[in-house]
Amino acid sequence: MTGRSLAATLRDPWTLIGLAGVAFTLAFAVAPLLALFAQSLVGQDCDCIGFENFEIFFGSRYFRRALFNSLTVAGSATLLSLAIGVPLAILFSRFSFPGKTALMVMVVMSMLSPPFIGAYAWIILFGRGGMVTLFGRDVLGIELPTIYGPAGISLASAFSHYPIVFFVVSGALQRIDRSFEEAAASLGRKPTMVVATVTLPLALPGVATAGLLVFLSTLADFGTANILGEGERYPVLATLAYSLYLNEIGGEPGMAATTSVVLVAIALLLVLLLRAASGRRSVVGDAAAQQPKPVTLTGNAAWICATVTFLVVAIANLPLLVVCISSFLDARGAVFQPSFSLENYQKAFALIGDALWNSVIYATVALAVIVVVGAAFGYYVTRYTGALSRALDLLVMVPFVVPGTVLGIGYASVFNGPPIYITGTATIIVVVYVVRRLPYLTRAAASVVYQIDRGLEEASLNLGARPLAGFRKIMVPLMRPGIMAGMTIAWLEVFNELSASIVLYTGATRTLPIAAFQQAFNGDIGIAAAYAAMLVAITAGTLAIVIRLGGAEQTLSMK
Amino acid sequence: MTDHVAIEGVIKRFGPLTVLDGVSLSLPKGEFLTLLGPSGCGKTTLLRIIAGFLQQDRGHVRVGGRVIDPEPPHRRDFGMVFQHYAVFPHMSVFDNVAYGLRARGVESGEIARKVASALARVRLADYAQRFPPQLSGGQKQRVGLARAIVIEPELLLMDEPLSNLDAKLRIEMRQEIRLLQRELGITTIYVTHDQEEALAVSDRIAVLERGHLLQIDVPRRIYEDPAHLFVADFIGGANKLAATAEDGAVRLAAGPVVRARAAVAAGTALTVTLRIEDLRLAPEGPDWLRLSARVVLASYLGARQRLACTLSDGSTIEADLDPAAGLPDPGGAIDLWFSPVKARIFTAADGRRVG
Ligand SMILES: Nc1ncnc2c1ncn2[C@@H]1O[C@H](COP(=O)(O)OP(=O)(O)OP(=O)(O)O)[C@@H](O)[C@H]1O
Ligand SMILES: [Mg+2]
Repeated sequence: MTGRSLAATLRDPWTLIGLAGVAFTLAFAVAPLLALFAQSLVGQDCDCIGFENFEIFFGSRYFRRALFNSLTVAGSATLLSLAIGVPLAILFSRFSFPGKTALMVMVVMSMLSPPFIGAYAWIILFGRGGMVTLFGRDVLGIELPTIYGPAGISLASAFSHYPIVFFVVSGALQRIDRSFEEAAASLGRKPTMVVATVTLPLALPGVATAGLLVFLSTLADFGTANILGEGERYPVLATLAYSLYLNEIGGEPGMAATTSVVLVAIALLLVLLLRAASGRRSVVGDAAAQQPKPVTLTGNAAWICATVTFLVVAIANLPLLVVCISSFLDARGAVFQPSFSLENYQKAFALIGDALWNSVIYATVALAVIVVVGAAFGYYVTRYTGALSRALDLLVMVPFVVPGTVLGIGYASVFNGPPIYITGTATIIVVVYVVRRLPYLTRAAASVVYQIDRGLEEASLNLGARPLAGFRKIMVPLMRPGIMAGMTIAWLEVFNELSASIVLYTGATRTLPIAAFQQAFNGDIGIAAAYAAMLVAITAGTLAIVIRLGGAEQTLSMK
Repeated sequence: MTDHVAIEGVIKRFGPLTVLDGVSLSLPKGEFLTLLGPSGCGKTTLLRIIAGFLQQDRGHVRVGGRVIDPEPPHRRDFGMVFQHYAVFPHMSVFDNVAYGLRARGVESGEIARKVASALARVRLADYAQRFPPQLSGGQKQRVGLARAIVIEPELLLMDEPLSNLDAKLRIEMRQEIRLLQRELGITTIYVTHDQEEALAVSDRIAVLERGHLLQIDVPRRIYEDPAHLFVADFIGGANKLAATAEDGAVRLAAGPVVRARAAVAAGTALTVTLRIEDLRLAPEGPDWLRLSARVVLASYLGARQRLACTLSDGSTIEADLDPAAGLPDPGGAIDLWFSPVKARIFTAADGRRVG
């Protein structure tokens, strides 16, 4: 490959794809960030360049408090979700106990509702007019603490994010060959000590990655913080950036951009720190690792594990249940009544406008683009080693550290005039969906490609197929199972996307998550429940179809 | 001699597949026993049952007369050396070797002393502070070995410990392992599918095929006196010649009578094996027998030359000869001679040894 001429490189269709990818990510991921960065450097009263805005930011108690809140909430949510997710992952991958399969299904189900719906459900239960709060006050005569504020945000975030930890750590555990744990056992360690001294340390890179994902995701989560922090009352950076942006005209220009830059800087710093830490002593996972046979728990241990797991997973599923049930309850003011009707849905449909339709169309189009482009990018960055491929690999990951709200604000300021004028259109929503989730699919595809023997394609080329035909005929079928998984998650995230689209939507491009959020934040509690239930139902329905199709595909390929 | 470790009638099934079909064997203290057999015959399965990682469906494992079936692996006190080393990548060489001692609550001065001496034994004294990613395959396997012997286990289990090393290192390491095992007198069960390795290192070899133990004996007897056609074929390779039992004779399809009798009824189809190195171009004794052959291919291998020939009944035979005798021309007719004492007779149907 070293001696490949420039002409040959240019003739390769993959070079064109690589170039297009770099151009796309530069325009839609990097440019908006640079624009925000530029804005943050413009002074308040003059057009001079400097760090005045950052001085204001770090000099003001208000901003410092938001920064502090963001870090504490994200930090405690991360610790909590690790505390839930890591033991669950170890339990599920190394032990058998009663009800394991059903509990596994419940873990998947707790991913169905977007975090802000979870937050909303906690309010239905523990908010000021919440069912449990009222029950405590009226029946038991005790005043329960309400869910608003940092503790509530952390809890709600932890319960909606622990599945990330669960799946990432489970994946890491799967790549540890059983021989390590067997060696430890043969040397005389008890199973619990084997986990502590060998399993966990070997899974540590996975735990760290999971922690990072949760931290970034909580840091960026605009909806949960806004609902449980009641907007301005408990400001975090993500909500602050949004409200500063909305009030930009009256307020201090550039502060929304400054807040955004601080958010991105924190995320970037964490990613780099983790990279540096994990680069030093890399423990290479083995994709073909043999799994240890799960130890079957018996007696008390089995029942304790099953019960504790059930309680934890049940709490995580509570929002789902609460939202679905309360959507059928009559609502009076901010309080649900103990009588069932379809009134919420009647009102919800009367107000829904194009929201449902928009959501379906935007998410479907975005998903199609994400899958095709992500598969191609994933392939290109794995199989090609040049500077272009490395650049694309890096650029495509940029949105990973950019909170949705920040990206939305960036889009609003860059794409509202030539050369690209798409503000207010459906296109901008679809593009932001694509850009935000492309990293996930690219990485998923890349890891699949990495595991596929290069010889297969070389055989195809050798037999005379053109490069793209080889990709289509050989790689695409082989990559499909791996991509299906990435695609499923991308769909959940795209369909429920809120934090960027809330900045970019207009009356005509409102989506279902936006409608649900608006009603939940300060609207009709009954209608909010109905919208939320619709979101969950559609997500669950499509997921069921995907799993069904995936299952069918597997049975077909077995024959 | 009292048996230190005994496997009694072990049966293991995976679903419909019976992987071990009633395997029994035992070994005295200090013995080096090798489990030898082709891929998939159940060697690893048996070793993992002994180690306690798998539970057998039937049968027992005894150590010092005591049944240890219910004991979990960590209470069996067996050291294990793994094919892919399984050296903990997040611990230094020292910590790897100290792992089992720490699990036993050995005091730290003692640990330092024992680890140092174990590392010295495997010639890694200078590597204590290294991490596994900085070690070569052979060094990693030495760490695995030191880690397993430092706990002075009742029994040392090794599952193809050398199969990831290159050919030269493999020979070097197998000698080291053998010397170390003798010095320490550790009872050892060693798994391999490499017959040469098995012959070189073992006190005794147990040959497994599809879950059945075909023969357990000292290397020399395994090679020279195979109890089963499979053993003769798998260890060392052998020419297989068709024969029939007649009244008072075992006659090769290719001509000569090799034996007066075999322990079977007349008319039974037999297979006679002859090692390639037992054939000559001239007789070396009065009772030697002759096979007329036609040379198909002659290959020069340096110390030897190998002839591939066809016999009068159409079967093929290979012979290793001294190159000094000169290379016969392909297509030419020659006579191959062998001593009937070297012929081994098996039933063609099930490979039982009958003479
Ligand atoms: N967990 C399992 N489930 C089902 N079948 C298994 C399992 N483990 C092993 N087998 C089967 O049992 C048989 C024996 O496997 P085993 O690993 O003991 O073979 P082996 O003699 O060690 O082979 P090799 O030399 O290739 O390592 C094989 O046919 C294998 O496919
Ligand atoms: Mg094996």
